[in-house]
Amino acid sequence: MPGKVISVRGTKAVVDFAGNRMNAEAGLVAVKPGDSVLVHAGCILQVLPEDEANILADLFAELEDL
Amino acid sequence: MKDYRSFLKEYDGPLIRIMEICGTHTASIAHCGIVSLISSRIQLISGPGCPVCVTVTEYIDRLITLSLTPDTVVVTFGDMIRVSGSRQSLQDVRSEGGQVRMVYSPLDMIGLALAEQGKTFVFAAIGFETTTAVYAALMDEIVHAGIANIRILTSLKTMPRVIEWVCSMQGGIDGFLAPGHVSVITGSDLFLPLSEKYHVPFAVAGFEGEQILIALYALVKMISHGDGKVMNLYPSAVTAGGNRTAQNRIDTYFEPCDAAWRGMGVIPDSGMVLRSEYLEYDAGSRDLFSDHSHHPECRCAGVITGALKPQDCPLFGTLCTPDKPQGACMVSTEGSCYSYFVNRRNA
Repeated sequence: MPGKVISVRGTKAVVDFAGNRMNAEAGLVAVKPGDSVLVHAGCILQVLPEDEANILADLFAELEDL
Repeated sequence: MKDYRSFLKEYDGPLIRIMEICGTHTASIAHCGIVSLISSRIQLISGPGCPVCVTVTEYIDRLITLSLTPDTVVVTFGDMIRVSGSRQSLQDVRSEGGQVRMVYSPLDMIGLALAEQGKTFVFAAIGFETTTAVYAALMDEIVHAGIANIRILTSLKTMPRVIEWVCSMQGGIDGFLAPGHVSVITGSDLFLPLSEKYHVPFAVAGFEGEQILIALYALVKMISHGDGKVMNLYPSAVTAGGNRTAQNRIDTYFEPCDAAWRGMGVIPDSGMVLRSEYLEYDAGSRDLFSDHSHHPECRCAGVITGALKPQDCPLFGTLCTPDKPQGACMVSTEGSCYSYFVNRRNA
């Protein structure tokens, strides 16, 4: 489940998961408050775009061509 | 595209065998009832991507020895505590005075170590490329902060060689549902050499039911058309090149090594260990290769490699249940046997 970055201090961030706020390591990817992020074992691994659907559209078109 | 669900349900072409490599995919497939949504002509095979399940008993025995060493505390994720070594589990020895603690993140080690500086804290560092990135972040923090009472005992695995092992030894896998979280770190290009060498398609997938179905649709299409290529169906999190910062951090602290896999033996260059310049942080990880199953009838090895379904094991659901697991695959929530049992998955 993605979390939302609430605050960032150095390489530490506070991330909200549906109301639960947890500390997370932010040294492996640049983040800012408001970012939707993928967190694994307490470490932010990726910033997620808001809308995956648009990104997938091109891939779907590629599949239809098969 | 709208009817990909009906395509998967109504598929009646040649039998297709797709391996989901990642344990989290195995858990999601069972949880979301994916098997009930696709044709019986599309078979899903669980692969060797549950880190707890592929850890050999000698590693667990080493953790047990450390937990019984004075002023030494073993720190671990929850699943590991119930997995048996050659005779006992960490849970067993905790009742005998073994010092074992569970945490949510390896980075929680920092607080533990600073609070009790007279003790040495050893993290049970298992996992694939994704979690290795977290251990690299931990290493970076303890090296730069000069924290002297943290060690890690590694049993780290990497994906390419074990997938190659499956391709060359197992055979009969027509396509791979590639691990989403590993790909976040490595990038989807990690699978290109394998797809080209073995002419099998890979679809990188997220972990929601819909994402898995779309990836299966892509795989069936590619298999049907003989396309051995890599498609990234998790583009919101995965890029072709992956997280370069994480890759560089891993490369700073770890180097490739031969690794022992339960059921598969030692596979060259399929693991990671601390580089020699950081060996002072290692708790004795090298050459932990032997594996002795806790129960002689346990078929975890066959299940991990996709050679057997969980229900093919004589212990499954009778002597081996989540309440009383005999093998690692029934302990971990990412284990095939656990997933099949709790979700009553039959196929």
